Amino acid sequence: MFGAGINQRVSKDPDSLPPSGDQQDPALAYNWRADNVLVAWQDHGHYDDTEVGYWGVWGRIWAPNWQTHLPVVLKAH
Amino acid sequence: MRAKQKPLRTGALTFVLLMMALLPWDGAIAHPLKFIPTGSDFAIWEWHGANKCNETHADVAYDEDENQYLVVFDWDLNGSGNHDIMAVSITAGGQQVGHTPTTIYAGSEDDSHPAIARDPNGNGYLVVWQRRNAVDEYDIYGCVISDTIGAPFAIATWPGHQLYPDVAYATATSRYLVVWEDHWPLWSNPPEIYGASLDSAGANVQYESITGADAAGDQTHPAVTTNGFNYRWLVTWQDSRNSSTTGYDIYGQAVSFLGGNLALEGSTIPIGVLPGYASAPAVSWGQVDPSASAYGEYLVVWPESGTLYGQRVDGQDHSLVAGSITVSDYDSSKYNPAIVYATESEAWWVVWQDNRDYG
Repeated sequence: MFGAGINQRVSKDPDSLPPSGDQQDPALAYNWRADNVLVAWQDHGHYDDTEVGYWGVWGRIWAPNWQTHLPVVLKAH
Repeated sequence: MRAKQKPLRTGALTFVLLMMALLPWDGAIAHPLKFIPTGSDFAIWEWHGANKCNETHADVAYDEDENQYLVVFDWDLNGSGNHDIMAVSITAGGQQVGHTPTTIYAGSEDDSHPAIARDPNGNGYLVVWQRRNAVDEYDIYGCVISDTIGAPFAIATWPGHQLYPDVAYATATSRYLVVWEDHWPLWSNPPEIYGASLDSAGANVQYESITGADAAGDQTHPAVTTNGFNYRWLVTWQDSRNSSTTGYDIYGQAVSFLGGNLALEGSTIPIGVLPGYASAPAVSWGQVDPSASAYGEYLVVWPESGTLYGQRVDGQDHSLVAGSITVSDYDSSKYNPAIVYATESEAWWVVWQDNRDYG
């Protein structure tokens, strides 16, 4: 099924850092050996106040899951 | 693979996040596809402390030989406003390779907005980017990475601005196609999409106007992908030729390299002509049903008036396959999609920038 019901947030903030403030400009590439993707994006807000306004490049690896039924939307924080 | 556009902030929502969808290639799978992360977010690179600066505009390619990713981005390490082009290798498991980023190019110029394509034939990459020159115009530069990082070279430096490059590699011809938004000879000139094809060494360059200098309206924010089965690429872009009727639309053009010549193949393709403001598209190719056709299909995705749309395009004759697809119609603004086809799971991964409120 194509459709809007399968949207999901890409990011999960690391437990040890403040939550992200902004995430923009995603890119991704596919690893056919493992059947997963690396999503990379620009992100800011993970470090302390003196760093506010500075962007970094962050990423997360995702894999398809054909059995586990996740919630449609994951709460950010 | 994807174009980039500045976000248009709306209302009080300033928190922008990323959303994704996994789409079965033909809509025939009975169960919705699910996807899981293999861990939390990780820093590909972010200086903090003494060297804090902005690292932005990432692009990524997968290296099947090393089983790792190469992420390219720009940074303004010295705070001068002049950006450099950098890269970090990431293992398949999400670990940095090495302790410092690799410099692709760090000069006195302002180099930014890199895009990268993998050359599996020659075990290399081409990185392309835009450079703000001494008279504050933008040019397109590139660099081949093989065993070493090659010297940067000019791809398009004529008068006016050349912006927002994208690049894809065709294995059948062992050539890259670089495309960009071209404001020759002046910024005020209606932009068109221009392209250059280069061999694996970045040499033997051939140029072609993808949209034609006399196309009505503005053609901007190109994205390119390759047909993995043959000698073609598909270039897509935002187009204002119908601004008085359907607003901004998405058009495309097949490009071939055959008999040693870069050429347009067929006519311009109206891919997404819907009422609204279509913006920067992304495009990818997949051999979606090889038992039916080795030529596969392209999928083009783009944001338009709050909805993320998709359109399948036949990989052989470039006709549209069925109607437009709604990838996401959640009530939010969406920008900068990216897309890739997963051959093993036979599905399209789509990610985009989204300002929905997570509270």
